[in-house]
Amino acid sequence: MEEEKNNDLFEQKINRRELLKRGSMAAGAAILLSSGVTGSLFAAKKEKKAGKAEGVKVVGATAMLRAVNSAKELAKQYPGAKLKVMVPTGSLGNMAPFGAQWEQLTGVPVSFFEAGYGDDYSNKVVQEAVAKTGQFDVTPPPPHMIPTVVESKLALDLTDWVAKYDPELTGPNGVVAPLDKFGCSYNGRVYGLDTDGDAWSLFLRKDYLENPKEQKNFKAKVGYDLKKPETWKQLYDQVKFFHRPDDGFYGGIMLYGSFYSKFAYLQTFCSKGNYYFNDKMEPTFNSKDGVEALQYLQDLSEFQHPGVFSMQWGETYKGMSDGLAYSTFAWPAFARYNNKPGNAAQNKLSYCVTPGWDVKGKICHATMLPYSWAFIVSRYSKYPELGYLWAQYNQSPEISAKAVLQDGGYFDPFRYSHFKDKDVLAAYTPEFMEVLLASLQVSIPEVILVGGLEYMDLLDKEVQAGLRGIKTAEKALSDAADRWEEVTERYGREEQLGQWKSLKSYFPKSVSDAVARKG
Amino acid sequence: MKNLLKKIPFPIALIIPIELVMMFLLIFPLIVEIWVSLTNWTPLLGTNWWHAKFVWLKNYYQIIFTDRRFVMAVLRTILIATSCVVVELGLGLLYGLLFVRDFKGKRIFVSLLLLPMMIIPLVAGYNFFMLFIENGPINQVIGWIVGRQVTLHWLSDPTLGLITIMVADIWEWTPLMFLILMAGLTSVPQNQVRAAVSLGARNFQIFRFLTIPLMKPIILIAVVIRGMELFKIFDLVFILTRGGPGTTTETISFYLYSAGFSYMRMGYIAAGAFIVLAIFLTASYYILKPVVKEIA
Repeated sequence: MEEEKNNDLFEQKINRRELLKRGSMAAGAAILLSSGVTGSLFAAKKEKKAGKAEGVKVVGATAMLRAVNSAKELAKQYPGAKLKVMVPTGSLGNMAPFGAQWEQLTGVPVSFFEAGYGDDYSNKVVQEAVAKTGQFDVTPPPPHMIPTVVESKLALDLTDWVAKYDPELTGPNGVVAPLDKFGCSYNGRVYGLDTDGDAWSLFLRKDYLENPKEQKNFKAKVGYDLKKPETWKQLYDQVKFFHRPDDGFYGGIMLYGSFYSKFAYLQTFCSKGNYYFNDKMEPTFNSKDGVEALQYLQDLSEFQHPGVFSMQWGETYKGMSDGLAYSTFAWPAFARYNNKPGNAAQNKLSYCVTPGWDVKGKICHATMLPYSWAFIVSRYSKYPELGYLWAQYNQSPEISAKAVLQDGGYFDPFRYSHFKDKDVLAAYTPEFMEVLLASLQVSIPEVILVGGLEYMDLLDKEVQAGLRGIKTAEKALSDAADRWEEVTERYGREEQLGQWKSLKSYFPKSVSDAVARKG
Repeated sequence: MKNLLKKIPFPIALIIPIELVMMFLLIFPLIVEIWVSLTNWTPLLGTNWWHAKFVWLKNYYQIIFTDRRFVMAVLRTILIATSCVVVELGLGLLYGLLFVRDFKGKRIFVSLLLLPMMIIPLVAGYNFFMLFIENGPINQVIGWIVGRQVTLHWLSDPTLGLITIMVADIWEWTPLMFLILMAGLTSVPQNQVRAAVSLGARNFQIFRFLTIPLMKPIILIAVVIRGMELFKIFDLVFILTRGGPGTTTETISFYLYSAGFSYMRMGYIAAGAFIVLAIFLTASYYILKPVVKEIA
């Protein structure tokens, strides 16, 4: 019997053959649609669609007003636009409280989602460079990732928008130099709006430092007055003097563990008047200065809390807050949290800029600025210019001054205006803010180059090996230099040299002057 | 095509779509990974993976012959896997022998014994981190025993770091061995045991000459299962030592994670993953060969 043909799908009788045929076709279509290849192809098409909006007139006396007014006008071209911001876990407090105000002022809703911390967050950022999903419009990776997000074609060049909307990266309210450069720029172009002044400072126990009896004993033993250390030698003397393990009190509880030891090393090395590379893109730490810097840290480790090689920053912070040690290096948020009423360490901490070495008659300070965060705009955003304006809004002098005070976040003061803001001064203490400003002004960047994470990790591994006595300082740094050379060769020496010359120009004057003095 | 479809039994035909999906999910990523392993692809190039430069077997050559860090990670992983499997096998067998017979409260004890296996590995790892940190309870207890303050660097010493990782893994996964081996012990035919007893065999002789040979397939399968998991060990290394100090406690997974997600060398780690796969498949083949023969 012939089957009646019926072109109406819903009237057709489905037999087993038809069921299998259509089921397989549906399954195949579902697989293709969900496959990464197809997704990438669609994303590639989306990339073409995202174009420039029609120009809006920039109105506003401040960065915040310009951002808000421009966004309000621009939003008319994108009815129904919504912004999505991917943030590292724990930083919501620095952004989310201002979302409602932004929406009220511009009519553009903004939502936030957390995406892990540290490596997890960095991986999510890079995944977007590969997957191109447009899942976020703006995200704040650390500046050391800027080369990665630029070269992987994730981050948009913001230079033209910066020129147009003026986020006040420079000027009296600007980002403290040199962070305004290495926190925002790469190869001379602006790709990020830095929003966190993550310079390390030296934290000391004030009750020991200013104790008359301790001062008298110190002077009798060491031969000079006990005061905030200006040099690494002075810090060593103090750490050794206050190391009293029998009393459960240690000279230091510093960040010597995996991942952190490279920061401690680089600031010790750079403050001898050194850059990371020479003009041939060869590493410079496999040198007398480099070996001495590592040996210094080895010597200092004798007077540290026994757990320093395993601890993460949370544990060292707690240890310092609980009164286990005389000194530590920490990020600025440590001052704010310890200053809170009821905290055991309140009023017991004193602060100073990272010590330096005497380089040809003048002390060279070089404070490490590890991490920090800088807003980038995703190339795959549907509303990149709106995303940029939101970033400018949140990073503006007015909003950022409030943002750094929020609980549930860890952004720290980074604009000159923050150092005159009475609320910020009260939260961080005027004494610390004075030190933080000085620290930011002598801050040195991480290795912000293509492959920067690899350079940093390889150095960290060898510094760890040196600190733990697995290798001598010379061998550890020699091996680190060999690994760095391999990375440089892999990415191309000339290309890396070009980026390095740009990064070198962002080093603080304290270091460049010391390098010049050495000749 | 119609004739082909006619030959397929209907029940088989019903599962063909899902099988196609599963094969696609398995084969497509495999093909992509093979391709990527033959290229120098990294997201830092700003190109898609299918536009990456073909470098033939360069990645494989570099990993095997020039990357000492990878070779050491492999050797270290083999050391950890071998040591943990041996100890877990011994302890699992011991627990199995203890629990093979019924006794009052057996279920409660078995449940307690299985608890470590149910904890999320990262949580278990952090517990061990807190135990073994320099000012943690382990050093304190040792100090009480020896009568003075003891500061062993469990997490920042190359040797002690490996020991800590192994202890944490043994604590967490011995229960799995126990489960598998107890299943094996309870399946030993009791008539053969009774026959051996009636012939005057002692307990140890029964265990050595009867129980173990009969349990051989189960033991080998348990060894392969745990060995496979230990070859991939990552979470404990990440939380306890981060592969340090230096690279002295890095395992294969941790190194590939670093190379892939910190260094973004996707082509390189793809090649590394295939090398590891080859090592493991070869080892598994020879370990399971007697079992396969027996079943066949």
